[in-house]
Amino acid sequence: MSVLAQSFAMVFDPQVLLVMLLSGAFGLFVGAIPGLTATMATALLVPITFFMEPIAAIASIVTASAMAIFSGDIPGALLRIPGTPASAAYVEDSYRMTRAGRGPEALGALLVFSVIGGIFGTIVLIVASPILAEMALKFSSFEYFWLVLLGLSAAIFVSPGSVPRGLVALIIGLVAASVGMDNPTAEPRFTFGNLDLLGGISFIPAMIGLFALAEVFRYFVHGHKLGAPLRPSTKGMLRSQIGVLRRYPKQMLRGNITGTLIGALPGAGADIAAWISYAMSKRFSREPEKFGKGHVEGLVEAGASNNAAVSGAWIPALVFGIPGDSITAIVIGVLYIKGMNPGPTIFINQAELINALFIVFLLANLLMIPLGWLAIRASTTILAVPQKILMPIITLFCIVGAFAITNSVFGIILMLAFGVLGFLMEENDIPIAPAILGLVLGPLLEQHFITSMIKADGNLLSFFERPIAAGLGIFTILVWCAPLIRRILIRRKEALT
Amino acid sequence: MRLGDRALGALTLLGAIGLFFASRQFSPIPGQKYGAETLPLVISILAGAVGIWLLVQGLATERGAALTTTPDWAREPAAWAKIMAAIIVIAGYILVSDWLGFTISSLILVAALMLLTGTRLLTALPVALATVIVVQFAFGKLLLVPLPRGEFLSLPW
Repeated sequence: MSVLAQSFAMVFDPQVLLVMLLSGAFGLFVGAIPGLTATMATALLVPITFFMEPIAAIASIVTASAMAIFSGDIPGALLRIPGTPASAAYVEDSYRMTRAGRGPEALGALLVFSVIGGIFGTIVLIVASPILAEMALKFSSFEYFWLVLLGLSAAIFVSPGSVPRGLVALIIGLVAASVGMDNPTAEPRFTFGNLDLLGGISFIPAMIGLFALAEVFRYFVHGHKLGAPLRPSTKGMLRSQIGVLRRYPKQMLRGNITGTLIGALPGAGADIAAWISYAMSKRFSREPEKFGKGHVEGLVEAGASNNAAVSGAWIPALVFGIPGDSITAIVIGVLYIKGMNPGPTIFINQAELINALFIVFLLANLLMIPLGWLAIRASTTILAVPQKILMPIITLFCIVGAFAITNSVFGIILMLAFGVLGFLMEENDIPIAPAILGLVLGPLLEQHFITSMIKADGNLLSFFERPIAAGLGIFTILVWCAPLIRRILIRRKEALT
Repeated sequence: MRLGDRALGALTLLGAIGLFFASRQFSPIPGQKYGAETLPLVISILAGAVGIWLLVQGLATERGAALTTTPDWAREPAAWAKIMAAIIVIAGYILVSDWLGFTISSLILVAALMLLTGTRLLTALPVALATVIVVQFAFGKLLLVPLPRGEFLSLPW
């Protein structure tokens, strides 16, 4: 059997298809509930994926995350509350359209362009990642060191909010990453005599705490009071999109490209992609005055962009093992556990798994049309589930999930500690994503640095001696200097005017 | 409570100093310049720089302002009580689950959290019971997670 046929057989296994259907429904549900994010859906799924075959596990995460990003649009259009942060950019437009009786057009556009964006991102993933992987085969620890550092830096400068607060988050993640014996001299670091900490901070309980439990705590203090949602209609929902597609082909394409690129940038995911695409759409529109007042153009571009970002984020994750967003940060952990070590060699050694992953991506995005349609029809029921009942149930899932990873209460202790930490971070406007990247990339940074230094006998200049490493190094340093350069340019401009 | 840039900067700087001294106890790989102390040392230098950055930024922009600001929710004792109670309930689960077993301790956990969110007892109890049975079946039976059986009642499976 050829590699491709093997991959198809892996995906079209009834068990994998059933997992995709169930995960899709789960993703749609979590995404549609305001306050629960796509990352949370992924974090809650991980403990269950431990008990699945590799492809079923990946299929489950891919389907759930893509569906959650789309379904976050539904409460936006019906309640004016975005289901996930990725839907926040265009919530005003979609809600006003629904109020004005154009609900089917708005929801249809969000569904159809999410699918198109997701498929575009997948095609780029299919085409670009093997090419990048071939290039990455020439990489040694020097290049990887710079790539990891670039990933960490991009996470800071791309995430919204203040740069120093983003750096504080990164420091928190790096400190957590340095706990345990997994270091060059296998000395116990920051374990305070605790035997459980010798193995380091287990990533999954930390993620569940930071993303899911912290949200539960936020609910306890802020509450999410939902009003009565508008009644959705699906009549002519998909058909009306042919006209929209004819009117805005350029916007769709721009959203697809921007979303994929931003997704591929380490640390930046669907949330940022949607905001940037919405801003670009308004900037280049012939009718910018209509934006925010119930105009479909922004929905086309930003709706496509956030789903394209979901696929784009997998490019650096698969090729370099560097997550493109917080979802792929979790995915990398799952890939390692499933024996699919991310990196360029995965394309050679496990070609059938990679092909199967691409097929899963395409299938998950196509599945979004029927499942999304059903979710829109069922949205009034989904939104009627009271959060006061949902949050305690999520807490129990967090506890069982954290326990399942370590098979001891230590996982739950870690999750609780990170839940409190995540809550405090959000209250202080310290973003979570850089902390996650610090936790994932910290060990890689240390490993590549030490390996390089052993090779070069401690000569730091060796990081600039190989051409690609030098290029990456200079680029990373330029990224660090970017805010300074921008400030100088602004001052000079002000002085001139 | 939201820390202003000055307060967060001072805290980061303190952390940096602590981390710097803590990193001194680790040693490099024999015969090499670098080792287990490198990463914590680099983090401490980065944290020191970020702390100073925040302090300088805070001194420039927060002149006359308080070091910390209190968000609206933090002025309500009920909100504090709720979040503390939620943490205590989860910590309680950690402490007693081995002894009480998953069934009883998670039933208490879910029901207590539901009461905290304002669900009525008559709704909370049956929903909590149904949730626990489903979770125990899914994780304990299907996924074979060794949920604590406890010394008390545990479901037949």
